[in-house]
Amino acid sequence: TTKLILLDSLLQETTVKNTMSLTEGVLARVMKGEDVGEFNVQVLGTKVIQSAGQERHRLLISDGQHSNSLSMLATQLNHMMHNKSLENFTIVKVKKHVCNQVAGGKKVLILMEMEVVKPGSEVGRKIGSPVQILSDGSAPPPSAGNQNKDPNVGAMKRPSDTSNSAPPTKVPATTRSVLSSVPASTGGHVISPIASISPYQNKWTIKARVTSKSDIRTWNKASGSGKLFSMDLMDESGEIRATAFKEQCDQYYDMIQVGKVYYISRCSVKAANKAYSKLNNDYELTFKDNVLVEPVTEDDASEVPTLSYNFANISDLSAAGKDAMVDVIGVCKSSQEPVNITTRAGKELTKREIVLCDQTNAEVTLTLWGSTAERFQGDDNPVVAVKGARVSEYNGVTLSGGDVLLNPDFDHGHKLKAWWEDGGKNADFNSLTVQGQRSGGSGADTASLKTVAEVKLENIGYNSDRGEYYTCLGTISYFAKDKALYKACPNQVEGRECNKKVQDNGDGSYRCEKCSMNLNNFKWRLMLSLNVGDYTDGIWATCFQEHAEKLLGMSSEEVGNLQERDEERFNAVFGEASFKSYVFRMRAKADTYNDETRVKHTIVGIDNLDYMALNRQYIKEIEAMGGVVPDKVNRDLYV
Amino acid sequence: MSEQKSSPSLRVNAALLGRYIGQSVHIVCEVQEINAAEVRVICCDGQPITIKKSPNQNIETSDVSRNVEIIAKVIDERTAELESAIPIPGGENFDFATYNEMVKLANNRFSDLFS
Repeated sequence: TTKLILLDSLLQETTVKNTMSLTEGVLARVMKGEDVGEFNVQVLGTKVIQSAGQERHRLLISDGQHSNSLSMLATQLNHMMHNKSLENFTIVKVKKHVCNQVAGGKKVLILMEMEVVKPGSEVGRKIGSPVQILSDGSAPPPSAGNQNKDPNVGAMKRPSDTSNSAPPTKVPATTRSVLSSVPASTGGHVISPIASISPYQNKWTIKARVTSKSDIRTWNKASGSGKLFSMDLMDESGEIRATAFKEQCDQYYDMIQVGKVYYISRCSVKAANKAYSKLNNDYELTFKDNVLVEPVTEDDASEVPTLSYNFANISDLSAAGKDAMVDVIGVCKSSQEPVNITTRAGKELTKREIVLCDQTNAEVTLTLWGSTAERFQGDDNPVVAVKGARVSEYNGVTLSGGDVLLNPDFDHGHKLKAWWEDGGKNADFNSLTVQGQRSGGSGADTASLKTVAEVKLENIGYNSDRGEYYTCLGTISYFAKDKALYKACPNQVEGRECNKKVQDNGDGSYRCEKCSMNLNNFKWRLMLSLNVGDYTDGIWATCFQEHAEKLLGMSSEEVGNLQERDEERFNAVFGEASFKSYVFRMRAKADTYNDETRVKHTIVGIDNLDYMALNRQYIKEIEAMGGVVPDKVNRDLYV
Repeated sequence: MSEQKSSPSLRVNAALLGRYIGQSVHIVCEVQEINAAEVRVICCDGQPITIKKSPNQNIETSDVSRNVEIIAKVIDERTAELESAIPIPGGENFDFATYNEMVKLANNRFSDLFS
């Protein structure tokens, strides 16, 4: 008995000693924002999280009185996890931390600098009976003990000594076999992995995070009208697209939010339409009439991976290339009001431009559309994370679209906000978006090229007084060579050449009416009429001096001389220049003459063809004409 | 070239040779080695084949590029008999990958257009 009493008092002593090595009660003060200096806590659990494409660790720490499961290890301390110095029960001294408020009123404790006081193996047990601090950072009233609390809340890797009678311990995501349906945590649902969804099995429930959500699209055709919205869903096993039509569309559109997790069941499964989605799944889902959609709290959802971002620095965007899809995170420096525009096709769109900047001291304009544009709040310079924005070469570099998350809860976002507050907001920014600038790249891409038939069909040039511009890839079939040259006044007027057509007086002198002068010389200048055509049609266009010389390969002076002296070679010049192909930039402008309105097409730019790029583009288009081959299929069998 | 062609040229890569045994095909490739009796080339799909020739036949490659178009009669899946060859003009930057895609499309999915 003496031995037992001795043992017991020894244990008590040890307990007291150990509690003294923790800074009891500090967590409540830290989460309130108090300046506490350095403090000691005990690590009770750790979990790897994939966040923003980065390895992050979430910790459950305790000060003996309270525990906090919303603690994140700053990435510079990841090595402490790698070298196993943060095993459970380890006592650490936190030397530097920051407490951040994130969307949803939650407070996150970020541990930035720490050192080990005593390794877990030496401590060997949980000190005290800490009570979980609430997600808003407040301590629960003292009477709420945590003995009955579901050990799975917060999804920590718990010490296994106490939880035998509790609901099944959550297995860390990394060791779970993805293809077996594991009895789920809360909610009473049996969860299946997304990767196991097939048309052959109708009863399944998935627990998935919404990674993207489209606006509601409505249509009204002869065959009927309808509406839908779509979303991308993701869990650890994979991803899948889901669409809700009509009543389900109305019912769930507002409820479903990007970034949140839901139990979803009772959808029909069909083959995926790859034209609308690049997701890696042969199937896609449609909400049935009796679909089940149940929100999952974040605490219960931590095994579902968060959106993975691959952020590019804003300064790197100019290298991204036209039409690249990028993820970007930055502080919203300024934003404009949303505007309503009508496209040429008659569609009404809401558009909003905001400017994002980051610590590379670069800024770029991001265009938001639809409901994203309307909902956006830019008043307090929020951190904006965008997934899947498209890079466009309009006005230098601009971004368009993408899924937008404001003030996201991850390290990158916290760091950006800290940089901004610390003086980033006063920095000089290099703007990638420049008004009126066309950035480099090969002339026009084939998507914006018009065929001549389209130009005629669309009545380009008739719709506006000022003239409309278009680009076409055409071949010159004919030059009106006999009227190509004219004699021009060589006078310099106010630093520029007069160039007006002169009258031939017949005696070796020439009269310029504009300068009111007789001159005894002139300059040959070109005004070419030519026929440009493609496989659809041909059109007459005019081409002036500079471009004409480019097409003929010699100066107007030389062409003029040949016309006077060597008819054969003169004809040959035009013959050589015929049947060459270029990308023509054209201006179509309506001209009214004697009650007759005709559109005149003028060449304002000529680019040589980039055959390699065109061939690559054509191969893609040819392939697409035969139908798109799904990614997983061996292309060589079909191509 | 002596025969009159009445149908479109057959353009192939190494993988397609076996389909046209006994026929004359156009092979766009890069010359690796020229001997008296044969020429080793890499086809547009990256695979090597052997072109048999007689000692007095010659394959011209330009100064800057070894890319040629060879017209040959197919003997088997890896061999063909040289009929004629021309260097590809401006050929040092020839985009074999895109050309190969075209060859595949023309011989498989869209072969109707080329028969």
